[in-house]
Amino acid sequence: MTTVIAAIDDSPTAGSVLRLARTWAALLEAGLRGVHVSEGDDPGAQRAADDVGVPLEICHGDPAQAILDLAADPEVELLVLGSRRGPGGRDPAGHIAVSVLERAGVPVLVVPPEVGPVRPRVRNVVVPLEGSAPTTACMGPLLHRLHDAGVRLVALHAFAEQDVPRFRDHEGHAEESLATAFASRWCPGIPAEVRLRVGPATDATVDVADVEDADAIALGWSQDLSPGHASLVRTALSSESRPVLLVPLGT
Amino acid sequence: MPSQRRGGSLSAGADPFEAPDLWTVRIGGQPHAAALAALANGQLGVVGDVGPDGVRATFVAGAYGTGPDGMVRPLPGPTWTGVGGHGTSWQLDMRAGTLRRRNEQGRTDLERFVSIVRPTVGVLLAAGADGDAWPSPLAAPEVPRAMAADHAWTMTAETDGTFVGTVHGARDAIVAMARQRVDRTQLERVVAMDHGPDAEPEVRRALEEALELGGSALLEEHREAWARRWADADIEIAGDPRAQLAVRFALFHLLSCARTDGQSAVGARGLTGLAYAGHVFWDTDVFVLPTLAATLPDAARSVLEYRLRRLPAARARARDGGGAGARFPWESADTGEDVTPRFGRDLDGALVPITTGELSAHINADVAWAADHYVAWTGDETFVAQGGRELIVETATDWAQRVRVGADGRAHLDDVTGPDEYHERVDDDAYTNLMARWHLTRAADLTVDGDGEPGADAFRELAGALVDGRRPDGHHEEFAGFDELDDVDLGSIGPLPVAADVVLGRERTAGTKVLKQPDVLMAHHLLGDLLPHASLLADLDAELPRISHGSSLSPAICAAVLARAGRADDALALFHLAGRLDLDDLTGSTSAGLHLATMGGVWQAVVFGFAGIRPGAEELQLDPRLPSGWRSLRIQLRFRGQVVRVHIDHEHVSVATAAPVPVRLAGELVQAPFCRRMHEEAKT
Repeated sequence: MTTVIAAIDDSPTAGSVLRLARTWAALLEAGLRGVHVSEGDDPGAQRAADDVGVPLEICHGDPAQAILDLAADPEVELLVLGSRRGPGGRDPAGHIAVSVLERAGVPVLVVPPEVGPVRPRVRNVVVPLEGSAPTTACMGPLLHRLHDAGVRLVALHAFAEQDVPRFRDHEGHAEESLATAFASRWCPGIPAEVRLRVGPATDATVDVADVEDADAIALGWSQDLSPGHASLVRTALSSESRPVLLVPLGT
Repeated sequence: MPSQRRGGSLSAGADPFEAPDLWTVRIGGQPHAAALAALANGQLGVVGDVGPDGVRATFVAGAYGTGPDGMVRPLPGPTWTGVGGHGTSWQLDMRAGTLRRRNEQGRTDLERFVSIVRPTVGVLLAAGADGDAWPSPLAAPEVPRAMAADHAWTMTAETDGTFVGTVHGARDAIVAMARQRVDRTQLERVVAMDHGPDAEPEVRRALEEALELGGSALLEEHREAWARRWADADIEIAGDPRAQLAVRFALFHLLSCARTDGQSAVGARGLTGLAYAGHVFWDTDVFVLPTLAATLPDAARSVLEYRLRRLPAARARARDGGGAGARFPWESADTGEDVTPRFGRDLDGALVPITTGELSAHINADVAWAADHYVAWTGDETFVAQGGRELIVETATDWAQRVRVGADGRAHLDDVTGPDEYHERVDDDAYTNLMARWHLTRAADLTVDGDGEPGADAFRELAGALVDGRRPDGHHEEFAGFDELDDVDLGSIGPLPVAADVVLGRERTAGTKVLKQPDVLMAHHLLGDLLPHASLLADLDAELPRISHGSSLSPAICAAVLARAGRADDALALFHLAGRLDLDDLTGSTSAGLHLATMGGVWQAVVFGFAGIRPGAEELQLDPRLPSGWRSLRIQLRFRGQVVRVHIDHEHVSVATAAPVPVRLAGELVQAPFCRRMHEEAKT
């Protein structure tokens, strides 16, 4: 049996992090550990754990490092943590979350401060795909796990303006035909419906997540949030009100 | 397990991988490799299984199911190509009609094909190591999401090692049988497959016969059959290897798409992919059929037979429309009822109502043109007598109920969509009207007065009354009001080809003169000398600069028309674009199936365009326009039962035939065989 770790602070998001972690643990048929790295007087974390009914383990030390140490256990399948948003969007998830995200060896579900009420079940996950073999390879196993657990997966590809297909034969079949081709090329064997859009991936992700009533957005990434990298991840972290599931390339 | 097979090799002869030529397509690592590996024989199609991606599919011609969305789509056939291991590279051998795999030692360790001698039979030969455990010869179908609800798969193994698999769908069932033999390191797998309620005995018989013959003999007869096919169909282009490979690739798939007996439902992507739901469009009649009519007439006949057998359904549609005659649907599958989707989705995610099913009236003329064109190549009067005449006349009758006689006393066709689908619901689309006029005239020729049909005079009167949009300067207006639309510089939208409707938006595009594909020029392409040559030049000047080539059908036809207008060198870039469309996946959709209509266009650009070959009333027309970069062009085809070999270079034209064939060479009647220095007398 694998484990899901919910790492909470004493912010108001802590309750949502625990509830989501419980939902995802049930989905993955995994055990759940609630963890708080104490930095002094922070009763909010324990209160949240009591409210949700998850036993809380208290650790000490550097929060990011402590969480990474816990997540290094090979049994850990998923890490769930809350994000904070700095002023001006310079820091898309808070420095502790970013530090964990850039170094974690497991998928991390990031819960934003504005997350809505937690649903009892994960139904729809939108998966933006850039159309590259490494992304598909890194996302594949987790996506299969989600599909097998009954989650509806919607893969999304947004063509940049300069990459818009140059031919579009018949309006009644063109989208399905491109989607079939995209699925065959970039997500073979991944049981996802495919949606195609034109324009910035950020806009398309918001649009499709709304239309598909997504419970989460899943993104493969190379764990580099420095300027010029991972713009979709950065935007999702800084502006999404849905949980964002970040899957490191190479896991 | 793949590692156990590394030593195996299928033959001790020269390794064909060592000498790739313009008969082979190398496959390895391309994102669209699965489709490049496609093999078909008009009955069975097999794609994929050429890499670790797991993409594989089997198609059975004419077998359809119903998706959960109500759409009629191909019923997935069981897969039979799995052997374990993926090899490092694959090669499509178009000369032999097989796909080969090379293992890590550089030896060919797998060869597979679908037999063009036995259309229900597929064969896989593989070499491994002693003691290899090969997977069973049949496996469950790979079911696309769109068909998830409509299939049930069962498989049993009989005591003699025969595996019997069935795919049951709501509309149809596929029966597959397979057996394999292992002789130390060699695997020989034979599969037979067909569809329908009574398929099993025939499938069993086909399997037994094939097994009796054995894998090597099956391969040999298949190779020999391909050699015969190529002998009457090959095209050789000296001086342009890219064009040569592209033309062979097109011909290979065109010659693979239809059976040579019975009927063939040839979908827009043939038996090579799921796109376009296996539906039959005008692609088959207008783009695919000419190649078959001129090279493999029995296959062309079987394509027409598909339409003939759906004439009753077309009559019912005409009756539903309130009149006599027959009305073919824009999209057709098993029953001949209209299966055009009612909605599509654009790339903004919005649902778009689809009107082609209702408005693309030209399909009737397209089907009739194909039937007539087949007869022009073959002289097959039995087809005319056995339903061909009714097909042409009854589809023509349908025009009578579509026309409106205006205050100008002329006949108009309102509210249609022509080939240029950027402008829907237009009046007097030039292509539609010109084709309808030809169609009515042809029907008049075939009409036997007094048998309940409108009569020759009525057809001719209607043909004469139809407006054609010809303007005083000689060009045809695409449709009523087109010349008043906004003129947009195509260059401002993006480099061609460009899907203008995606870039500009559908509404904005409809308000401009930007065209998706040739409309007036398409009529010139099909009708040739029946339209005045002066109008071809005027229409080329007026229409070509407005064509975005947003349709994959467009570039090859424009290349053909440019060549006819004497601009062969200008045609070459568009010709190459069409030729490389699937080889280089220029549409991003080749993985979902090969574009058969584009391939038909490629053949037509060479034969109708650069060579100027058309079937005439009694004679073969020939009027070459060779691109300056091509040293020579050699074309094989059949005209009225005779094999005709045409050789063209910049100085000579020769036509070789076994018996005399009249040829109209650049307007002058000459008797083939001949070799003629251009602008000199014929030397027979």
